[in-house]
Amino acid sequence: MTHKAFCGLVVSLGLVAAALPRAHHSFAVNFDRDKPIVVTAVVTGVKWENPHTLIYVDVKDKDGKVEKWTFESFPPGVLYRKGLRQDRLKPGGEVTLKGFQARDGSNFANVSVASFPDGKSFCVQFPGASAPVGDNAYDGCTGGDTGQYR
Amino acid sequence: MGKAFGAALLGASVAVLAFFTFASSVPAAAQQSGGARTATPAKAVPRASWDGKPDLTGVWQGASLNARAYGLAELERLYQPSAKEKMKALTEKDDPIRQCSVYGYPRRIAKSFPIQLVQAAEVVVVLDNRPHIYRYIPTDGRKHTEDVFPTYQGDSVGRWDGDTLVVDVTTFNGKIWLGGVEDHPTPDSSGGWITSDALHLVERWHLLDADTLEYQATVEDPRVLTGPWTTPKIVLKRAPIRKLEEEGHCIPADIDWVSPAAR
Amino acid sequence: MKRSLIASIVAGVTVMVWLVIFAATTSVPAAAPQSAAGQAKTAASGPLPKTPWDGKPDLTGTWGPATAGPGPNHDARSPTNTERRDRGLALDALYQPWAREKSRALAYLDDPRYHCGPYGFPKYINIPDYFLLQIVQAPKETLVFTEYIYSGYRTITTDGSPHPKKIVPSFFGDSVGHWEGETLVVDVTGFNGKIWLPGVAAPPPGGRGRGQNAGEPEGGGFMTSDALHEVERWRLLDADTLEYEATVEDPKVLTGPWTTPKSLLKRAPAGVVINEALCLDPEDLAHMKATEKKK
Repeated sequence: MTHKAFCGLVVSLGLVAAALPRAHHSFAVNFDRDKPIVVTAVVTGVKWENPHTLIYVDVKDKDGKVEKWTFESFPPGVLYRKGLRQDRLKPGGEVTLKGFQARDGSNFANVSVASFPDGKSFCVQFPGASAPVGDNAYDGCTGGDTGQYR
Repeated sequence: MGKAFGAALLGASVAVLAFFTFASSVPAAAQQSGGARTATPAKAVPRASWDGKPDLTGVWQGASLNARAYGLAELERLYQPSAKEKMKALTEKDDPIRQCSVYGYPRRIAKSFPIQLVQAAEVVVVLDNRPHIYRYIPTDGRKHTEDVFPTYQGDSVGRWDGDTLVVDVTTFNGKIWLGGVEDHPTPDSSGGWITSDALHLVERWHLLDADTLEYQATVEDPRVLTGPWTTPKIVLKRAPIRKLEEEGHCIPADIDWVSPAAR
Repeated sequence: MKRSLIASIVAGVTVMVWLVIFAATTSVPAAAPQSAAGQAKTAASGPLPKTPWDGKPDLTGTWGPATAGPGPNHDARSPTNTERRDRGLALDALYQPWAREKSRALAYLDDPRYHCGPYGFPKYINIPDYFLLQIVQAPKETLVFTEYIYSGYRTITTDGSPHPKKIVPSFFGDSVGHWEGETLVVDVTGFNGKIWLPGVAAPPPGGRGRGQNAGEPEGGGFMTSDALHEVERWRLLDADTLEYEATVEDPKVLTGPWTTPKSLLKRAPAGVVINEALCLDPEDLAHMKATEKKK
């Protein structure tokens, strides 16, 4: 039985992909290291999926107007391994997200640090997000939790 | 001469057809009697050198079981009415296996594609190529990981109960099916055999002899079933291949786009 | 004369039969206390763990890149940006001219991971992300598990069996391993030509930097063919450090062999196992397809 025969019917992702913001794993290609952002927001939804977890948030600006943003992060297993789980990151919860905005200027960003009202913060930065230090790549967040285990 | 040959061929064809029909409708346990057909006596169960437990290492292959042989008639009776409604609405395209996910267990065991088990000091691994995926079953006495993300295959822990490997599986994401739309144990069967994230699976893997592996599973799912379902005892035979022969990676067909440069 | 000969033969056969029965029913001493200690689970480095059945170094464990972040696993020996760039250029120089041209023109979306293809090896070893490698060493095979972009695994046959006569080409190839002292040497063949080697090709003149570090060239991918052949060397430096190196040949695209730098992996804390990953929501190629059609 061939691959194709085995895989059977195709799931059409076209409609779904059109609805989703662009989701890329290569940081530098899609996110701008020169466009850091920090938002304190309310989570409206979380899509825990491989290869990307997507965090949907409502951000209130100075005038109280709500802007919707989507933040991209690692697969759920990786976040869990760091201790960032569904008990923290869930609809209705408050979170401060630090990251870098997409190059196309849309309300889409990549998470570096997720911090919570109880003071706990999680560094989940993608490589390449930080500027190099001298001739060395610097892949960590400043302060807070670093490394890939909790 | 031609007539005699033709008659012999017809007779042989009928016999083969009758054999396969019979073999697929007989409950799997009865297939154990197939051992009596071979001239050589069953070989003793091999044991791991480090702890004396039965060694499940090998490539194992079962018969393709139809819905009744796999026990689905009994499972069908256990679905709650609300779940049955959901089941009926599902078609083949909703089957997770058609979307590059997995059959899951026990459904995978009812297929005739071989699986490969590798037993090491503190783990038993199940390797698959329909599709390409592995199951990691620690046997070091640990309990379930409390905060692991729910997955298609769940979180497995194994322990030995005498010579039987008992595997307890929890923390499923609720997306696997226990059977396919094509499985009709009764004339009224239809739809997908859904599970929920409350699924709890207990498997029993037991070597009957060096070349015969028996599998049985009990499924509970309080969100969709009214009670536990236990499969029949399903027999796998040792396959004469060293390892699985194709990688079996499933790629969703609509992601074949390549840049002009790569064409 | 005959009688004593027969008696000798009978005695000899009897001894042989008892020896065979003894060997078949007595398992090799398991050295049980050692096997538990051998699975070194704490961070303290000590003597190499060994498998009880053959005394070889035991590579079993969950392994993280030593170069991920400035946290506890960050290794001071991780390559500088200059080193990374130079390695990319060195590999680029080995490409046959036609292949170099093609490799430099590849778009980032041609990366196999955007087609639900794995990084494969050697590339997976060096991903500095949060993805881990898990190894299970058994008597006749050593298994290697990955978790990005899906749950890809490798079965390294170590019982002396050769490569199958007919190999169905695959992303991970067919692996056969043998021990040379304390190094597991793995011969890999039967690739499907779809994986990339680590690093990026040099940019065309005037190209700007992209990728993980400033100064690293943009564009391209180190493609391979189905003639790819690898010899890997896996070696425990201590109980918590695994060293990996691979020599790669590909007569269809390269002019000669290329050896990766030695990579170090560090043992993950006790209890960490890699995750199930199914590639069901790949990077949005459908989006790019749609975008291309509009052009």
